[in-house]
Amino acid sequence: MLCGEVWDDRGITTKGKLSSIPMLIMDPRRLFELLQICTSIVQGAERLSDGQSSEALSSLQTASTMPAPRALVALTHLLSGFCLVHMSRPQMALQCYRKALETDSRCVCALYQSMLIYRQQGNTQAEIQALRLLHKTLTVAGATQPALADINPLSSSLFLSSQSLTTLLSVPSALSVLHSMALKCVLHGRVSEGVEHYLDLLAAFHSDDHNRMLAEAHTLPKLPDLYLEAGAALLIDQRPADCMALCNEVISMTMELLPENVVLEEPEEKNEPETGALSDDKVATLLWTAAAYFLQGHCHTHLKDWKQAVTHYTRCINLLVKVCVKQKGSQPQIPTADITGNFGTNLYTLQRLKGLSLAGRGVSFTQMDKLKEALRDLQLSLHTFPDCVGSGLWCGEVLWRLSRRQEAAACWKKTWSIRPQSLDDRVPVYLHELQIGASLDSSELRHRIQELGLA
Amino acid sequence: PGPAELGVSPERLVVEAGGASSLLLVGSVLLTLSQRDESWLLTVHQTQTPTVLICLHCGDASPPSSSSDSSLPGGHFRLEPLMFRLLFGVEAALAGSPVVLCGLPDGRLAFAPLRLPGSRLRVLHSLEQPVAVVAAPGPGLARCLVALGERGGLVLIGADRGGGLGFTEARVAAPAPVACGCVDERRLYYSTGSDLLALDLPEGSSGGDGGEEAAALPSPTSLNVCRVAALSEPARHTAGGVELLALSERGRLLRIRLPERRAESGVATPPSSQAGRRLRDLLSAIGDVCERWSQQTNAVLRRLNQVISVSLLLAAEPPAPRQRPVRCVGGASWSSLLQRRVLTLRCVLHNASPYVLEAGWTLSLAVLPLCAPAPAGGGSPSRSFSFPLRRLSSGDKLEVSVPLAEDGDACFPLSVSCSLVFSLSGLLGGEEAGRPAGCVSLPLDTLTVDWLHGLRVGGPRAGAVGGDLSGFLRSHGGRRNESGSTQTYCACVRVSAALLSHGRSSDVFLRLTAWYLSRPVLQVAAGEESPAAVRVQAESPSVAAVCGLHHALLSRIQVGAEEPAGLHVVTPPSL
Repeated sequence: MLCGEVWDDRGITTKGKLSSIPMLIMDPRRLFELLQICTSIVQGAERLSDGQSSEALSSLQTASTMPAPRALVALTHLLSGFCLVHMSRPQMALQCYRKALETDSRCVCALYQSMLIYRQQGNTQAEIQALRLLHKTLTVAGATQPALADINPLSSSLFLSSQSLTTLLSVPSALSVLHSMALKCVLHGRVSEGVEHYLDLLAAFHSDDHNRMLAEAHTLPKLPDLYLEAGAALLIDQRPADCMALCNEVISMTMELLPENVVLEEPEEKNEPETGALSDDKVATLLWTAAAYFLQGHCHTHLKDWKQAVTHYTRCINLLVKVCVKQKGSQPQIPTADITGNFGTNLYTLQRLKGLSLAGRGVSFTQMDKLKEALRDLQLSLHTFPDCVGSGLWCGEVLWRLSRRQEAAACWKKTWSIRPQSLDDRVPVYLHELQIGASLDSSELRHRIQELGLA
Repeated sequence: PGPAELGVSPERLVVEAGGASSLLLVGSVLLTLSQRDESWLLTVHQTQTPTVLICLHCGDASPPSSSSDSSLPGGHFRLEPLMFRLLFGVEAALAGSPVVLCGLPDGRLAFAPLRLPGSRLRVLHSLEQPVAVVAAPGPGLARCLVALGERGGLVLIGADRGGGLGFTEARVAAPAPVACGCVDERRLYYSTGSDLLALDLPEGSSGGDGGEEAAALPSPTSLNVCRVAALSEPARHTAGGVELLALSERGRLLRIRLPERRAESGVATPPSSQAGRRLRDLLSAIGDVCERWSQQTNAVLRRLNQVISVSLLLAAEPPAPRQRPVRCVGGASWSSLLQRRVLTLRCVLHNASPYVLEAGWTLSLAVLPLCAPAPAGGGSPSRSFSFPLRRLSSGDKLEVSVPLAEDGDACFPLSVSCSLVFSLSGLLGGEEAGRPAGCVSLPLDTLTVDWLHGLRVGGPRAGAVGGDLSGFLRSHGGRRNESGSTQTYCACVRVSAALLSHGRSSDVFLRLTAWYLSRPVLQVAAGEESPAAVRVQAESPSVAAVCGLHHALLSRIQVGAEEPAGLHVVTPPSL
């Protein structure tokens, strides 16, 4: 029965005059239609999660022609897109997402899914465009409410309570989208734009947005990481002074918290201890500080202040050597390149940072004509991080200057043979091989090798 | 004046029960009874065990709401930046985020930075008993956090020597569950309901040198304040010392001023003997106040007891008039006052009770003409007179006189109601005077002054005052005799000899009739009927005088049959 008592928003029945008059909440025919399309949608979502994509697709396509509110029709298009992705037909899926957006412009999930397809296809410009639209839609007031909610007491959301559907429709928070956009821009040649996005992101952290605590955060790096990423972006954008300021901020926060020695242990099991910001963060704190010094060293190479660069790289290295690695059943030891184990990203970051900072110091020593020290650092760098292209090239350069030309040529040749790893987005941008204030021209080096061969 | 109304904003409501007609707290369960439509609804609300929630700010970062004001609202504390980072991590500090810290009933202290996305509550420490107080020593930048459990478990969280977090645990005296508490720069104040205690925190917990790990905590000092249910943040008192605002369990707001404990740290503390003396002085001062108060209370109670005894005695079933423990007798007489003839009532209060009527009691006489025309002014024709008693011991008498009527201005009969009044305001001493207070009024006798009293002109000099009598009669009879008629009216009463000889009062009655016989207006023919009856006859040209006299005679003879018709007619108070 849809008539009888009317409930007010406090859940108290208001009887009396109303009780004798039946109130029509919804036309029965409309209700029938609503139930029909909602059932189709929920069924489609369940089938999709059971892997029955083609069955789901046909019923969803039938449902998309039913008379129904726009938001629900958009949902059928969106789910059809999901089915097509599962059936490895991304272009058709994109068509469905486009239809969903045309039907209901608030269908953020369609934008998000389109973005994922572009990312998969490597269409970076389209991906950035989709991210921008997604961020805009998410930050527009009111977009945070589910698009399907309406004031009718028989809201369609009542009939759409399905776990599969909820999982399918989840969309990252606006801040995560902003971060993805910033990173994409920086990595794909739109550095100034990326810098702006990073600065917007940092500003958002200092504002009092009460919804932020509710937002999920697992896709977003920790705040010091974001500072360092923004710093790296500024450095790539040739703004070393701004980068140094951001790094100083991080260092001032972490400096007094740095431990004397840290043991990086292989975690026993996957049990997340809930006890505060204590032991687990010691390594992270140390790595943040080291990375900040490393970036500051880079900044000084850009300013051609080689002495200061050496100082900062040294600070970074001194911090990094405090970390020992303890594998299961053995004593703590200084990590080496061939160490393996389930240490997560911390060990990778540690080794990479050590290799890069040794390389940076080696280059700085080269510029200061301290070739012996330079060679030591560059060789150590290659030992820790064998794939470091900069270290290989500069190591050859130093050998060349030391008149060890055959060794230099071998070193260069070996370096050119390294297939540059495609760094995925999970490696923070500050751990990429950033351009430093001195560079070597590969063609010139090849020319030298040729000359050597002639000689 | 009623209690001040307190506004409670909706967001502070813990339980909303509309239309509840009664409520009861059983343990942690709140029961409400309400009626909805035809049925009664008993609702069980599980009340929340109290938790503690505070907000911590890094360094001098201003809290979100107050932009310019540097002072923090209650429940907010500022932590020294390094301490803040140690406790809550670099991220919260980098974001300049306030951190909320809560103490849970299971003893966990958990925190969450407000500005970090997706931040969840993380556990900092566990007290393993319900958390009662969490605070940071203020008002400056705190170098540690203090948490106190309900059963006296105390933890100080500060930086240790190695640069990490140090947790100093201790147990402090808590004879009863800790109800509330607060912290100032150097001390933790906490209430166990039975007492308010102050505990010195280790040096360095606020400002100064770095926090000391495992500092020995001295035992708390009792402040001798009980039933404190809530405490505000301590404030520095302008005259030195600390001021606490406390709310008692009964809803009373207390301001507790603690004297300056000692000078700034580093200066030598006063020798213990001096401290002991100060404490003794304080205690003896408290003792004095206590003793004075109890003496005063005792006196009041004793007097109140006496008032109640007297009241019970007089309110009991009235015995025969002569046996009444406190009674009033009176007589009327003409006297000359400022050259005017005034009929005066002389009233004697006789205390035959075993109690002393002390100050505070008042003899009150209300004079009411029984058949007077309403006065022209519209007010009450009655008049009243009060005579405060000083002290009337058992067996003593007090005589008072009141003017009843002036010559030519009386209207008989008059009723005089006597009562003893005790004002309760007198009990509470001078400061309560002027306020309306309750009083106890105990009716005694009611006296009637009639025509015969008005006629009475005094025994031995009866003839000499005949002029008074004729004037009196003229004034009262004249109104009826303006036509100049010489006709006289006559009323006659025959009293049988049996009645005359009845009882012990007979000879008094005879003396009375003899007196009547001597009156010129009354012609009593007694001779021939002597053995059998006495005839009393009143004659006057005034019909009113004859009627009044006749009534007075009759009432006297009726009462005189049992009572000596002395100078008063007794009406028991209950009639």
